[in-house]
Amino acid sequence: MTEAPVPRHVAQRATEWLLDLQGEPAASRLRDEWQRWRAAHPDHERAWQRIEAVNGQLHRLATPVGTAMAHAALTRTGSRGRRQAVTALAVLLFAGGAAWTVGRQTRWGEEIAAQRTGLGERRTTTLDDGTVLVLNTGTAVDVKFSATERRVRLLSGELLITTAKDALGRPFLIETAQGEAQALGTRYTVRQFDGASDIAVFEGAVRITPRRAAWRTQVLQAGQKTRFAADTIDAPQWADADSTAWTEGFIVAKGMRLADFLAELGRYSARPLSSDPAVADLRVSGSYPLADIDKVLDTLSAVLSLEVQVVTRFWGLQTVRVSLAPRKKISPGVVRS
Amino acid sequence: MAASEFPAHPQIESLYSDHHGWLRGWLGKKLGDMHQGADLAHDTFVRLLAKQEAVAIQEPRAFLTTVAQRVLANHWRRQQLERAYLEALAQVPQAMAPSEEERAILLQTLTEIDRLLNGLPPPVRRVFLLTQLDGLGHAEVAALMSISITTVKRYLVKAAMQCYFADAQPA
Repeated sequence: MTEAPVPRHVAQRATEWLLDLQGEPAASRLRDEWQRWRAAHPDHERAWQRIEAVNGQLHRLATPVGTAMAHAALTRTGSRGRRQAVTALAVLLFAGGAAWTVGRQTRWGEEIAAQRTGLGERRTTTLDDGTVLVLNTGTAVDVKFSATERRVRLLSGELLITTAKDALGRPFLIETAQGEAQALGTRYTVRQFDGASDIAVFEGAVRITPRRAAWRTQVLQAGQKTRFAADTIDAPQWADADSTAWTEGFIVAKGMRLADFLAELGRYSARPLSSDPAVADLRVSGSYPLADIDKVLDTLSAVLSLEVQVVTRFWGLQTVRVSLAPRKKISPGVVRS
Repeated sequence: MAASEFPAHPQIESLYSDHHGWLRGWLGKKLGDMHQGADLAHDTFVRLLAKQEAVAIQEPRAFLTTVAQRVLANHWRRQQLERAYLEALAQVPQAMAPSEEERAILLQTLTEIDRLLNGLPPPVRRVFLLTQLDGLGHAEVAALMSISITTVKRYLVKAAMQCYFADAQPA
């Protein structure tokens, strides 16, 4: 640690750059100027590396828990201040934290569920009655069996259910934010979206009861799927068996829009995925493994003559998204890694 | 060269043999714990040995006290951080609790960042963390902390100059 100190005026200029680049959505011209400044003198680059070194360390704290702990532990004052900081931590964790609404972390409510899967994770679990649940990526469920019913609350994500006949004859219910789905001897999937639930039935039948419109109850037969909200049920559509491909670790696309495909694939990725509007309507077909998202992106970009851009925040520390875009020469304002 | 100036090491050797016992006792009393006193006395001499430049020592005990005060301050700070860390950890719901390995990295990183932020007032630290760790924009931080954007920037400059360039020298 006997590196030569950075001259003060260079340090000041580097700090100004930091503020400018983080202040507002930085214009590409600003980034170009910043790159030129860095290249202009070894001291400039050295100063910038100092910033990156410390922020690289900070980046190790960039998880919801790490961030909350950093605020609690590092902004402490005396003992009173510390207690306040700890309260702030509790609030951060329960509120999800303003900073983390941009993240892809699961919400607090999902953490206490009896069964849950992380991003890209998939798990099969057998309940006491022999019913098999397959949890897709980012899924949280609460399981509650009582004397009169078998109830599974889907808090987020997607489930494939293969119900077993219950010795006690209790009904099997899946509850979502929008209502209930009662199994009538069956194999079906339920997926929780914001404001709606999707149900697709592959064997047997399912009775759907919207939360605020119980009179609209409807039975969905094998081969049908539908979407329902708290007070409405859409007309049934044909349920494609490929929509359960995730249980085998695949995603199957048939002429799917690239943007839709990436949205679907993004469910399994810690990094949000997106596409340039110019190529959003390109069509994707085929069967893709969920275990290696990078490989899927490579395949797609090769087949569609696109390129993968890793768009990063600031200077390469916080990856914000991976996007597919038409191939071109250097595009200013985008840092590639 | 004045008579009192020597290359660092022989000087420290005599400091050690003459005053180590005294320093241990002094620190032990400050800490209310003789074992810790011995540890920090050791740290104090390690710190002296790490310094390359020659030192002129007129008042050995005053000199040792000055260095030991700094070691002591670090010790308190570290202890305070660890306590805050443990309190914060206790608040983390079990389902989200970090693993042993993650904890080690967490504490080590927190200690390092805490050292860099040493002496900065809590609001300045907070602005630094919100912008650099949480990735919030200046306006968002200003709104969150009920301060002006100008103040956010001023705090940020202050934190940045210390954190990244504590050793910066006038050109």
